[in-house]
Amino acid sequence: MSSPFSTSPSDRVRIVVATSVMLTFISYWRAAAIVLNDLGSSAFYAAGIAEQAVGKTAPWFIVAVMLFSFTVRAVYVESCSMFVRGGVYRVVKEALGGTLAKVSVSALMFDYMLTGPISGVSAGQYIAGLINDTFTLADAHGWVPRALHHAAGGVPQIDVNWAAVVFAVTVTVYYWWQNIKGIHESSEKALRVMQVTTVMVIILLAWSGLTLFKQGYQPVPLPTPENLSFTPESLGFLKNFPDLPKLFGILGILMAFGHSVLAMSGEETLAQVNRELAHPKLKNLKRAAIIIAIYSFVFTGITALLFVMIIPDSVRVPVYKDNLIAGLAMYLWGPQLLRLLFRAFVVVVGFLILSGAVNTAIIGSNGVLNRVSEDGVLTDWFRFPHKKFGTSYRIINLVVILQLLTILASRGNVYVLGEAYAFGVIWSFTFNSLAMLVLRYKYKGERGWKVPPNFRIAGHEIPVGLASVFLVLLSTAIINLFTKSIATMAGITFGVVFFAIFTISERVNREKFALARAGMKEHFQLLQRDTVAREPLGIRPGNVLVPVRDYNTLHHLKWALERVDTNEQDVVVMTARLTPFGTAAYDLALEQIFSDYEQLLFTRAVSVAESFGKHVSLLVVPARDVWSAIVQTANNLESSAVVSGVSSKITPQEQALELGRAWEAMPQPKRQFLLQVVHPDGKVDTFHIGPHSPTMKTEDIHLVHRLWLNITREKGLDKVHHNDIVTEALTRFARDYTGRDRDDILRDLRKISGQPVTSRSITVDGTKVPLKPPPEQGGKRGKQDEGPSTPPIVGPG
Amino acid sequence: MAVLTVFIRILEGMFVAGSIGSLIVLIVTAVEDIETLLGFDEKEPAKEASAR
Repeated sequence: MSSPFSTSPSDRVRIVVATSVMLTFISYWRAAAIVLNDLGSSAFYAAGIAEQAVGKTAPWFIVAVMLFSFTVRAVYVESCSMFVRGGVYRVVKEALGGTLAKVSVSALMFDYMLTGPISGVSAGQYIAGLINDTFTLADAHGWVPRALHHAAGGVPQIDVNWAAVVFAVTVTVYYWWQNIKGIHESSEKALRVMQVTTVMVIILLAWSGLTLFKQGYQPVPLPTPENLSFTPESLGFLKNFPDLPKLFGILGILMAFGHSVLAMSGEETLAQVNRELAHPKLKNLKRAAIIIAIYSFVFTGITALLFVMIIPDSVRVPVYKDNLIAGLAMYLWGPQLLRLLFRAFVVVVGFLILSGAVNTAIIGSNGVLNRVSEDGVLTDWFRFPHKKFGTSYRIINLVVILQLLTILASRGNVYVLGEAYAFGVIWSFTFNSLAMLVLRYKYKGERGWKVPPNFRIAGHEIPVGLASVFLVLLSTAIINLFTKSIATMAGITFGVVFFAIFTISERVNREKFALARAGMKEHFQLLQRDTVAREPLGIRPGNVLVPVRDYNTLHHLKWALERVDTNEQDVVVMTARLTPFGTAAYDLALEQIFSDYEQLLFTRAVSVAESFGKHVSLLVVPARDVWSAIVQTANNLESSAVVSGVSSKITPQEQALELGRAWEAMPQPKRQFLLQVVHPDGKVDTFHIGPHSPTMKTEDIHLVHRLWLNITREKGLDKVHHNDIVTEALTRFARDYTGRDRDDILRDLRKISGQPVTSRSITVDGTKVPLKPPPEQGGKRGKQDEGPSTPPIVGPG
Repeated sequence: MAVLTVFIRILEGMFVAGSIGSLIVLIVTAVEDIETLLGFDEKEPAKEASAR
């Protein structure tokens, strides 16, 4: 498909813009783990908030919400089966237009703004609660020094709420810095966290079962209007009508349901991970969704019932309302020390999953704001990359400042945060389901799956299931407007402010984009391609790929251009348009991928090339991960070398390792290439990416030769070659490595690898050597620097 | 008060109707989920939506 600018004069610089994001695909288990890191975290606080709002019958409503979450999940599966890049923004924009899409994104942002604070504060509550209970236990045993006891005026205790604030601020600042640096978040980490959480859940459920068997249980009052007890806070604007819930009956049930919806927060993450799911996508999405729904039902729903069944009424809300799992651990059957140890384990798991949710909130909101910024709804100013790290630091700063203000304003009160959080959660779901309902009539494209049941009457489809889910969500969202006064005021204020920012920015951008388009028309010719290939760029195999990101550091491009004869070998300048986690769920238009920043970057790159009088080909690829993007691009373009600058974050060795990992993850067929990392002072580190012949030291060659001499003197072995010696040695090595000598081998290798490497720099001898493309490889091997004697791929000038 | 009563009754009606329908969704999808988990849907060709 050609670009709208393809009728340009031939002197314009041609840029190929790939529109398919280069992703590394993940299994449904990993996808489920990512979603559960968000969804599962609500188990730590949702039940406590619900019980404070509606009374002892709250667990039944948590169970009802978790069952209802199965149907919300079904709506997301349908939306993801229609739009691979789904998510509330995309779906609502498609169905209801830009204005409501902006409103829905404002609700989603409100959700994210509270996910971080509530998770951080909740984790702080668990930690502070453990510290206080440890002090109490220690004091009872006389382990606390008398001086400290007297100074504290009794058992030393810390202020739980303020300690939670300090903890939440610390965690948020920590993850702010991680996001500013752009540390890649892996699905591996999410999987590990969920594995540890699963161990905790299994112990918790088994031990709770034993406790119920040994000690009996307290009944959980049935969810009838008579058993509901609303506080003035939980009645919100209806506090002057305290009898309404009982008067109407079902209204009370609806209000209680509304106070429990935050238990299913995190479903939106399902749409965000969908894009990265491995083939077969729909089936894997369904599998991930089933795992998520069952896991969160068991974890959040069943534990909510156990809280009331096991923890005595006298302490459940007064003492443990903000750390109920810790309270449950303390009232299990068994020795106190064992219970305290298990509680410490609960706190560790809570810390992992809740602090992970703080990070997810920053990453998610950064992703959503990046996406709307790319869509022209926020000005490019927000997306401007960090000078050193290349991240969208202004958006991250904005998000984190808002989150820090929220934490401070809450003063560590999880209930207030939870009430407000529910506003964003329910409205985000409501917009999504409404949009899906509209799309049943508006969208004529293919659907992989539909929410059942659907009936046909007079040729018209009646989406009974989808409409039912929407009705529950809408009625809950409306009642929450009345019962959650703080959330309504905060949510509407936040939504209006964000909506105004979006609208004003969009108007400013509209004029700016018109000018930018004109400028782009004048200088660049954009050629849109779905995938990266050599043909659109008009380049030969064996080219040199030069990834660029910061227009201030193009020394590696200069280095490559100095040395490559472009008549014999092509140079491709490539930039990866990174789409952070969350934005991969959304589609990018041509002008969004090639934005103002890419325009400036390529203008500088072209200027450098012109200063050498050489031609370069230009390429933009959207990518989730820069390493995968470089490796996949080099493979698709049959590049023989990648010339990179030194990263500001990691060493050249680590750069090579990351590229090697990405190479290993790439499907067959794949080709080797050389990586040359150019330092600002001209020093170059060279690495082989993919399988390759190792460079042997002279003494090793002599050793092989000596062995060969000795072996060929043996009877019947006169025809043995040098490579036979190496083959036999390697076979024996492999056998020893898998056997009992593994530790010895590893110790020796550690000793060897600890020795300093003599040099990795490439010498400069003045010749220009065209690169020969390495052969296609079927093997799967690592990435390894091979020392100094590897011939330079690019001869010096 | 009459307006409030009508409003509340509408909300209750929406919630009850939606809950009944959602229960049906839950039951029908649970059957599909069991089939997916047990691999009964392996023979069905996967219908993948085209990326838009």
